[in-house]
Amino acid sequence: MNAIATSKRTILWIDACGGFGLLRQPEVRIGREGNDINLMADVSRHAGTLIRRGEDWAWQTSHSTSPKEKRTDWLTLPGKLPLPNVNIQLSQPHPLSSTTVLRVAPPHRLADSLDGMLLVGSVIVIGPSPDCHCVVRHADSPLTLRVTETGIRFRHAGSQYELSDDQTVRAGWLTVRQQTLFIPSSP
Amino acid sequence: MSAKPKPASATPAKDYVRRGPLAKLGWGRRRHADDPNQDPSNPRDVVKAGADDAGSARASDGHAATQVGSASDSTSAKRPVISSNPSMQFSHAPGTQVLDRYTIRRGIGIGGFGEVYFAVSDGGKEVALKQVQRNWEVELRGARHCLNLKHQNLVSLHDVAQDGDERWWVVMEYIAGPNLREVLDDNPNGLTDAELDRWWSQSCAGVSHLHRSGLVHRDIKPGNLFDDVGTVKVGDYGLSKFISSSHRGGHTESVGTFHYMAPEVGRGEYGKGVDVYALGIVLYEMLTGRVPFDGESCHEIIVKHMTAQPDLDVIDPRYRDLIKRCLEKDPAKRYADASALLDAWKAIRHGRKQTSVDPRLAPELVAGAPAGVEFTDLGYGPNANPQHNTVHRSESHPQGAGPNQAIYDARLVGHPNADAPVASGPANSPQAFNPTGKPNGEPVARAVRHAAGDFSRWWRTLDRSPGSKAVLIAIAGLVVLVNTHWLLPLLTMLGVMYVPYYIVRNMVLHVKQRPVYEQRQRDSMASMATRPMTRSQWRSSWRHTLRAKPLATRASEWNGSALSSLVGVGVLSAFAAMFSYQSGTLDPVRLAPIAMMATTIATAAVLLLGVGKSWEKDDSDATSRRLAGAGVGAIVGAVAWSMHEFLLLPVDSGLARDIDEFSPPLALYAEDGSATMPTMMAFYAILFGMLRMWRPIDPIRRRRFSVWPVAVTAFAAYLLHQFIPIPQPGGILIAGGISIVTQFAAPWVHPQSPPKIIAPRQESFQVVEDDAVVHV
Repeated sequence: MNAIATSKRTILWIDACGGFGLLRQPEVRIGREGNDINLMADVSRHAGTLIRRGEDWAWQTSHSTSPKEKRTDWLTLPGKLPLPNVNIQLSQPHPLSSTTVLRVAPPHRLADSLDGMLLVGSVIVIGPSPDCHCVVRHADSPLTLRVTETGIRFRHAGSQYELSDDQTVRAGWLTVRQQTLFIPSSP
Repeated sequence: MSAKPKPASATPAKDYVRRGPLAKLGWGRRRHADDPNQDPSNPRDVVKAGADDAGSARASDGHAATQVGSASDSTSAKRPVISSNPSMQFSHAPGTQVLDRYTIRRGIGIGGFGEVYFAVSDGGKEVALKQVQRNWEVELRGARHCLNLKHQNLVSLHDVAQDGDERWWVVMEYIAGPNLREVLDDNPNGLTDAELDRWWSQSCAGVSHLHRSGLVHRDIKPGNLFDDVGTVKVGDYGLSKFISSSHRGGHTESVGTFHYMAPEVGRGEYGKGVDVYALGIVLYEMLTGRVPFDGESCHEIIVKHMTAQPDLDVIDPRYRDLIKRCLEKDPAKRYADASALLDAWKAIRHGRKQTSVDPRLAPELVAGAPAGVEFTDLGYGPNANPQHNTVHRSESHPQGAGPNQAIYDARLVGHPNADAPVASGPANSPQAFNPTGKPNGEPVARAVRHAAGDFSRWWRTLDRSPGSKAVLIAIAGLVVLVNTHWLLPLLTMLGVMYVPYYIVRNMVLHVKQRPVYEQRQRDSMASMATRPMTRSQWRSSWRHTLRAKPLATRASEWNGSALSSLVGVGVLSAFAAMFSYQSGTLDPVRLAPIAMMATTIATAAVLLLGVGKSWEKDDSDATSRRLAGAGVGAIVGAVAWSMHEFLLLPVDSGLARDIDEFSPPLALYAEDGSATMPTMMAFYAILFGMLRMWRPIDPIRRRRFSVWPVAVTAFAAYLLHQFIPIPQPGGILIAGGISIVTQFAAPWVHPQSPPKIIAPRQESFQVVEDDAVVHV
């Protein structure tokens, strides 16, 4: 029996903030299902791919006819993806971090009840101000989460914390849970 | 529109890095956070949250946080523990499954009445779950009343359910969009005209539907108005009963905001005018970005609500009259309800002249009634039944609903005149507003009043003919007249004692008196504990209270109980001495057994009461308690044997048994068959281990004293004596005496006593403002 290919998806559930999917790869497939970012919207199964080049992003549309017809557009942030039926916004709110936040404007939603996707550079800033990647309004100062191959770490009040699967960490005003989903990859 | 003031607290995002905490840490010098060479453990390389937040760091329940290191940061400037932004700690961690089918994904917010979570059902339905933590009975009654309300501008309530731990949850529609509080925080100068119209008109429409359905929201505030993909929805209408939590600005999150509270709330009046007033405040804030009545303290805000006039110069002239009328101190001068307010708003927006006709009788309002709701039934229209409101209440809520019924009834307004406070009942007088159920007034006068009431009821129900009653009155009068010679001096003396007491009491109360609003709020907070509960809920709540008791309090209580037990032992000994005296002379030989029993009972009582202080915390397993009880029994047995030896009492008498089929364990006895210390220790150890000794000393036992445990203990001692005989009747008397004394000495909670604490988070009512905590 052939093994089913699966991909790992990490989600951060942050109290009083939202749920955010974490993606670290340089190429992110977007579509209706079976992609890195799954939309609950009237889009094709694989609408396109976001490609990271340093701190910039490019959008490559997906056409089923021929690879030669694939068009790549460089994106200006903050900006919208050139998708006709859904408003997907990309931004790099923090001026000192290359982490990019992807949000879908209503009425469309991200799958898995997510509020946004974090296309992680190396750190995620969570705090009260709009320039944080995840805005927690009752926070009184920003926290920086460092995302590495081995996990997510952050420091708070002189202590260092590490997130792991299905664990909830409470540190001061921050309550965060890391959830890992294994989903079948699209062929 | 006039220039809008800019809040001082607003910090532009572009200035954040330059002037904010990042700048203090060198981020303003273009240090790149993504630099892989930077070490997160190095305080110079990492944005230090600890520099601004010294709140406790802990792992959640059942979820271990991996704490890699604990490097102290000498550069961190620690703030006071009480921060201006209290951390939002939810009781349930993400991933927790509640109600059997909902998995909590994350917390949304914490209000005055409970915590709200975002959860997903097993089938994938997104919902908001509100755990009702206080005032649950009124909350749930209100929620059930609203369960089937349907309106596009109201947040839908799906269900009310109880989980396995008897916690109540309200399953609500989840709205992913922001609430108006967040929108206003993002727009500190107010909203645009289009957004203003959208938020305001739709909010009014939602509240209007509530009013037409006979409900008053009573907690209108920006935090309860949500944007659901362009549609504004009013939330929390089934849950908010008294002044609840609110977010007021980014710098303060307080329990008990006063910014949207109408002046008459302080008098316990909860008519539709309360919502109209709050909507006026919200409109003012949407226009200017700030509330009309603000202050450094809640007292200042309250006083402004009651006395100050709003500054309308900063308001667009088109809306001044509307806001002015909304913010009238007298609710009768405001718009009658949200429908009238909405009508006035539309007239302004469309340039029409406002009608002076009473909008409550306007035909378009009747036409706009929700499906299934007869306006005449609600007291609207020419055929309205003026008695409807009373009838509705009496039918929906029969007698015995408790003192909080008035609060709930105040929300079920139907008659137009019911915009003012509910006319029926005692809610109109401040003294009568008593949601706690705690009696008001001077206690002696209250006792006399109650006695007179009881007598009056007895007299009315007395099954005697009028003639017989007249005779009884005549006899009573005659008795009073005959006894005047001592009754009058007695009453005079009581009066002389009462007057100074009354004066001193009023002086003391006056010193302790808080403003009416605080009193009302404190009463409301306390009222959560006086709701009728099931026995198990009451026990659970009290167990929670007992668990939260500090060690010093336990020690103090043990001390008091021990002293009480000594007094009880003294009383029992006195009875025993009198009994002995009646049967002969009272010499040392007769007193020695009494002294032995008294010492043994006192030792047992003190020890059991001490162990009981640890037992009262929870309902842990019986085995460990039996073992502990057996240990106490062994000590008691040793003391009893020692007293026998010290007082030269015989230990070889009174060993006779009613059954002789079983040989006693000879190893426990001396060669001559007399009892030894191990005999006594074994006897009491088995006795205490066999019986559930924690029951009679549990503070939340059903009755303070019951004969049943005494009888059971004595009978158990008698049975045990058949297998391990000890000198009698001392053994049985001691066992019974222990049961009597411990029951009297152990603290006891009256079953009608409300728990002092239901949830630790709401233990005290706090208003947090600028690093200062005001305990109300």
